[in-house]
Amino acid sequence: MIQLRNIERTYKTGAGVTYVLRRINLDIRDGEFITVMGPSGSGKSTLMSILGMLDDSWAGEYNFLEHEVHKLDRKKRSELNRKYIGFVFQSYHLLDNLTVYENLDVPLSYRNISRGQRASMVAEILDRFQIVGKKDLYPSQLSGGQQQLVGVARAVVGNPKLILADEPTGNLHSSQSKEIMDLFKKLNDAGTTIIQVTHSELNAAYGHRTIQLFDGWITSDPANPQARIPAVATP
Amino acid sequence: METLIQDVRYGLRMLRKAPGFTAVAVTTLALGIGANTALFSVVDAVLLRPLAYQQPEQLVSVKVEMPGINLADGGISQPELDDFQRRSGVFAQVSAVWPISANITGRERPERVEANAVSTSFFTLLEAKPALGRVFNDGDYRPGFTEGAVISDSLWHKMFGADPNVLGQAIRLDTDLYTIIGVMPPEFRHPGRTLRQDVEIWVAAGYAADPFPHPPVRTQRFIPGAIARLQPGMTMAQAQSRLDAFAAQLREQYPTDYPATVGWHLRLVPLQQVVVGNVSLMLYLLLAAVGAVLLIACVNIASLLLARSSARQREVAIRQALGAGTWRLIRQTLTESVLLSLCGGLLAVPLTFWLKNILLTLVPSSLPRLSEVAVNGRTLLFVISVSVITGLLFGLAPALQVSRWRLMEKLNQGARGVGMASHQHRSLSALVICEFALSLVLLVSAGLLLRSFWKVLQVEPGFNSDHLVTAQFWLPVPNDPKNNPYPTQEKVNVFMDEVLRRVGALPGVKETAIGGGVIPTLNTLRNAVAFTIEGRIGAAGEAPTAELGAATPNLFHVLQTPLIRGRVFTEADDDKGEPVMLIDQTAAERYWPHGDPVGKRIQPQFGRGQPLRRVVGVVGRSRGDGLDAPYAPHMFVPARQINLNTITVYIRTEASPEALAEPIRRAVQEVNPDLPVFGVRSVQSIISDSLASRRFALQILLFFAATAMLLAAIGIYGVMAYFVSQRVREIGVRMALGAQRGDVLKLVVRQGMSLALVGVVLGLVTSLFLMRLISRLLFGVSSADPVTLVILTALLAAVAFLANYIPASRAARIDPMVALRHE
Repeated sequence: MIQLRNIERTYKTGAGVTYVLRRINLDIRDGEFITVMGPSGSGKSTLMSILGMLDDSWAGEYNFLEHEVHKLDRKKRSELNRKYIGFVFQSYHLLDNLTVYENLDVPLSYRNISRGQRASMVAEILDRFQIVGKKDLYPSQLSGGQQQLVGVARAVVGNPKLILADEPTGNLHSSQSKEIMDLFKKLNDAGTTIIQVTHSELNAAYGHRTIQLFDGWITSDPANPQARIPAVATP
Repeated sequence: METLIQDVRYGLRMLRKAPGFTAVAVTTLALGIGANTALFSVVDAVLLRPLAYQQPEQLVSVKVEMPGINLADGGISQPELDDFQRRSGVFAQVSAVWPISANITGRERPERVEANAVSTSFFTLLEAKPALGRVFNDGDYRPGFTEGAVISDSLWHKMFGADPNVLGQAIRLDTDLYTIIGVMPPEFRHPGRTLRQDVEIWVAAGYAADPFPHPPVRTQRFIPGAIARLQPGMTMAQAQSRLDAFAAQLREQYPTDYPATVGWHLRLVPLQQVVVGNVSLMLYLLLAAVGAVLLIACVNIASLLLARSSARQREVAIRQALGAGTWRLIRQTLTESVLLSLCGGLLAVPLTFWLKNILLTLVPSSLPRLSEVAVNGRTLLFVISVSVITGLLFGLAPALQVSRWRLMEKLNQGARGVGMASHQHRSLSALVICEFALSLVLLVSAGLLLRSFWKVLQVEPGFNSDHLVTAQFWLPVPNDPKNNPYPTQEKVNVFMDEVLRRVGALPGVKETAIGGGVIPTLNTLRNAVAFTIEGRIGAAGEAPTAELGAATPNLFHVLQTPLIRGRVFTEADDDKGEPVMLIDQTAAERYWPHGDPVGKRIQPQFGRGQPLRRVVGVVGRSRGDGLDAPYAPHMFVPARQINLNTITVYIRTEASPEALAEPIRRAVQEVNPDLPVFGVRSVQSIISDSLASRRFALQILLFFAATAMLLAAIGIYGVMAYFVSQRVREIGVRMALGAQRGDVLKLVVRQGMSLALVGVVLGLVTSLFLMRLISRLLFGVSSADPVTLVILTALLAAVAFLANYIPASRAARIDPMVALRHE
């Protein structure tokens, strides 16, 4: 499903160029549940942004399904994002001034879907996540766990092939955390590819494979035993 | 007190810490407060300050109304004046006021002066004291004119070089000798209508002997007006009701002099209202407009403060944790805003002097009491009050926000959600909506005045004003008919012929004519005159009236006013010929809607023993009372058949009025060396001057409306930029969820435009309601003129769109990655 070849991401700083990701090579198959781990600043979130096509300023080759993403312009990449990818954020990022129902409708509103069809999709997801009773509540009226439940529901409402979850349980206590992870497991079992970033070994255990990042390099990838930090880590 | 000082000290420190914001806010406020104060100084002098007489609230003007013959301001006869004083029981004192032109002769060169014929009670009624000598008293009373005259400070300086020995000097006025008995102080102004300028000389009369009709007859209402002081302690309402009863008594006592069909009655008008005239609506409109501009500036500053205050949430939270109560926090915020506006007010004081001077150069010189405009204690009090009110106004929204923050903590809104606090959002939105509503109201009022002005300029005056110059002179009316140099119509006619011949021979002069009551603002024979139509008995309330004018045979040719039917006057229409008359199209259509007036005979009711006059022709209609006055019916008598005193010479010429003034003066004075010539002006400049008030209101209002629109645009830009800065994460999330740049652009523009449009709709509704109040200032457009409303709504919406587009396009460029990390 995903092939990354020599992906590099740099930032221009006053002192010169700072590398955030270095020569990333990664293969992800359809239906996999991948965990990305690493200390702060290792490039996990940047990797997620590139995978989610929110970031354009990288070099290398990125193949997503049958698309050569590196050859696509911003608009085409944005289309791929809308069609195939769902995001779950650590801070939930629900829109404060919208109800649960409206929050779920937001990603659909950016697709070319009729109002009626959208309504049935939202109704189905409310039902599936058993949050029908909360559809008219605002985020501030929900607990953290409930908010993240809505966050996950929002990520899957458009039936994405890939869910990118950036520390989805970072702000939740353990029981809520388990609930969300079980939910991811169910989604993965149903065929959705999931890539999660986490600091929790417990959450990592839900995945099929854990990739370790350090200082922008992949230092460990069970599918690629050669991956390691080179002798000189920085240019 | 100590805490207040602490608040002030802290407030000053906060203002110092943000010099950019402080400078912008203080400058905006200074300009706003300064403009308000400058306009207030004019409104205060003209409208608010009581007249400079003792107990001015007791002073009234007595108006005679005769609705039955369409007379709104009929004259008063000598017996009536006497009755008001002695029998009505309403007035402590009554005086006639009669603005007249007079020629002062016997000096180096003759001068036309503005005189006023009053009663001997005039000055004592006003309780006005002279600077030199004395004023009239009861002992001066004569049935005709008194011998004494009181002069103004300006005439004393102009004609007598401020000679302290002026008292007792003789002065020849319209060939009659008067003795100067007093000089009024410079601040004394005649209270009421004048002909051209402030009154320079007052003479007193009993109106019961020459040159007035005698013995006095109740129906000869030749005195144009009267002022009076009410009995001590009497209110206006009481006075009016007593006067109504008295009028009823007179009508009963003299049924033939007061026929029921005429509807003769008396109305008291506060003298202040008479002095101010019809400018009060215009001035209040401008004051409201400049107030609205300041309010919009306040809204802008409020939204800036509101945006800034959210950056101070931490500070407020710490203060709350340390025990500061809500009221204390509100007070701190209000102290800061009032300090800011007081700084603006301080800077506004010097600005006020400057703006007042600019304003005075724009104000039409016809505005009453202009000489009283000054920056004084009242103005400074206004600055302080406006500053404090302004500070409280724009500090209110941030202060209320501070008072709500504790509640927010309870709700524990914070990192979980995305977006801004909804109450803050609501406050800012409400401010933007108000701003747009106010701006549209100002734009609509300016737009309506602009359309009105345009319509006035489009008006066909009924004559060609190009290369048309007028000159005026006054034929004296001596108190003793024996001194009259022009005692017969024949002598007047010879004089007019000679003047026309000599002026016509001047280089550059093509044609000349004499007339009156034709050109806007030159309608010297104003006051509609009632007339009867031979063989027609009018129903009650239907007595025909028309503005009376005079014309030499070629007047309508010189003016290029078309002849519609019949003929114009000829040389044969003189004192020996048949009494004839011309009417204009309006009179013809109104009084002979289904027939031809030519050949009919009418009898105008002016002077004694007016003959029946045959209508010989109908001329095109003209705007005799001003371009923006409705068409009024006119009738003209031959100048050779009426004893004209104010003579206006119309001259079609290639030369400028400046170049013609001296040759005309010489030409007239070759005929009569005692006649001063005045008012040598182009007709276009007369028309232009007649529109001065309208032009002034328009200029000021356009400026205010443009400023309001700019401020509203800046306001919505600032608020939307702030909204966007508060929504960076939200926008990032939306982009992560698939929003494209176009979607973000739409999102922000839609939010801004919905605020602007709500404001515009609110402004539209308010305009529809408020503009009815200014309908008296409009001409040719309705107060709900759809063209104006549509164009200005579209204009304001377009400006709002532009102001929204900039922050929206910035929002669309937000990098979702950066936005999502922005935690």
